[in-house]
Amino acid sequence: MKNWHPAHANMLYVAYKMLVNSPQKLFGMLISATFSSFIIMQQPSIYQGVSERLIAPIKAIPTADLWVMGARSETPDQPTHFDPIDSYRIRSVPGVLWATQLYRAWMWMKHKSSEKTLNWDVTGVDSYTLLGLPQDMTQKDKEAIRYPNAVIVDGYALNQFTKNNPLKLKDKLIEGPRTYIVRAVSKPLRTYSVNPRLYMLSTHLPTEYAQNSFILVKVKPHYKVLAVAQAIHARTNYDALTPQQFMDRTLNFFSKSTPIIIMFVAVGVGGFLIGLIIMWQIFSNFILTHLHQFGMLKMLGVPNSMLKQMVLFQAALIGGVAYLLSVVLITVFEKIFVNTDVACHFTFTIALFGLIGTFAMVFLASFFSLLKVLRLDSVELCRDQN
Amino acid sequence: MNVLECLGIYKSYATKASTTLVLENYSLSLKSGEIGMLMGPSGCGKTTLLMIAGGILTPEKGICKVYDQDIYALPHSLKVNFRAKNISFVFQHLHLLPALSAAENMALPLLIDGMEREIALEAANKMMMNLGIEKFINSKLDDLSGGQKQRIAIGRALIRKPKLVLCDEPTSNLDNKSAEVVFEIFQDYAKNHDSTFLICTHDQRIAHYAHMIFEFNRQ
Repeated sequence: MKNWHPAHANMLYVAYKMLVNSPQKLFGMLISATFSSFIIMQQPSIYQGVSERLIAPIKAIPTADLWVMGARSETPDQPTHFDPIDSYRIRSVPGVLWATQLYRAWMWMKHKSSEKTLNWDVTGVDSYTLLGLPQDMTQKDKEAIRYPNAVIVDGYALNQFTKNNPLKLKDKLIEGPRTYIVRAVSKPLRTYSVNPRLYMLSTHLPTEYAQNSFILVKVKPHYKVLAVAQAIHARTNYDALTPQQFMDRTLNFFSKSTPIIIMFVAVGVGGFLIGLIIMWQIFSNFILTHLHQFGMLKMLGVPNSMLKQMVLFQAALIGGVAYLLSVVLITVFEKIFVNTDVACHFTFTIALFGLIGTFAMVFLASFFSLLKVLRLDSVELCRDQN
Repeated sequence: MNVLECLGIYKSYATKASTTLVLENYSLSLKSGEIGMLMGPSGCGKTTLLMIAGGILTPEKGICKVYDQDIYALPHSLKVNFRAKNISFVFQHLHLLPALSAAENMALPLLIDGMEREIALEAANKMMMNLGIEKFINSKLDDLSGGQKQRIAIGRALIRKPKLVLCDEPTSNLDNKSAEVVFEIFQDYAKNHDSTFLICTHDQRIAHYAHMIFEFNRQ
């Protein structure tokens, strides 16, 4: 390494020994830096988890190139009321390979064996393509939806029933005069909806519920998706959005109409500042109690640049250990809460963001202490008792 | 050749109420291998002169040269280098690093110079043997007495075989026997390594080791 001298290694060793020789201060600094680092990463992880749940219904249908909807449909839970002719108008747009309706409805249904009535989030899927039905089933298979009056329930719906009166295959769900039979259970799709979810063929959906939908479009090969989207808009006046655009619209809607982002940013910044202040206090105190030792090193010929490296090395050690601890903590947090209402998804980008945040915090906290060391006059050594 | 030469030094300390002149037109010089002692009562300016000689305090008037180099004429970074190469200090307050073992403290100047750890510690062990504290090589400072710590500080000052050693009350924590051991080592360094010593003390026991005594009488 350029300008590397054995003295560097020796002095970094001395810096390390100085740090670990003050176990109480080291512990305090590690706690504050870990707390701050944890908050810096936990808040974006929860936001990431929330965001993923909000857009999960869109991501669950990767086959569609475009989602067609009215201007008021801003989330997957806000379907549009289309005219019966609209899907035909869309199919006639050049470049459209197929267009199929995905119905969304909310139906109060009674579970016959438990007598429990719940408001079910119902998705009516196209009987030909089964588009919108999850690929993976945990019980039976997706073809079971073709049985008369069949429904497939989402795995999370099972959690809303007790062990004494569980929801199981062949159970009946009653809505007014209609009876539906549970024929399969799909792999849980974690969304932010509290309603239990089920799927049925759109042809089985009662007319009064088969009102609102999205129209899913597949674009022919060699056609540009955005060009087809513009053509659909020009012909029908509906918005045709790519899955990414629809996800962005959904997230924008939540960030505009709820304080979700402000809250996460506020808590994240708060955690950063609290960690910074505590760390600053303890680190300053640590440096102050070692100031004469730094002065002695200066007197023995350690240049300011080396002293700077020693202080920054100490800060980096604290930051590095705190970061690793907080990564472990957040991974445990993620594992603990993975199947609960607390959405948490710790991603590589967040880990990188946390690394930058943690090191920014420890280096900021060490900045003023560093100035004290650099400005230290050797004459101080003659004043106070060590 | 004069290793240390201070000419016409003036230094005063100002408080809100008054200004006290502690050094007035003071001069001294020491040649290679000489031991000089600044003797006098507390508060007479001995330590101030020592700090001026080491380039720590700046005089209001006068010049101080080490090996013909006016250390106050040097920019800060060069002064640090010059001091590290040529001058060692034994402070009244020892400023040892409690995080390091006794041997590591003594080896610190060599570690700063970039010497390999094992070699530096070997040199420190030898120095500890000379100073009669070899059984404390791996001890933590907390386990040592004041006198033992003082000998470590002295060893740290001598381990680089410096040309000029400035000591502030080096025997203040030592019993007669230890003081004798330390001054025999000082004498040995002065003779064999041409080291020059300027020592602040009011310890009359060691006066006979001095080649030159500079007396301070101001109360």
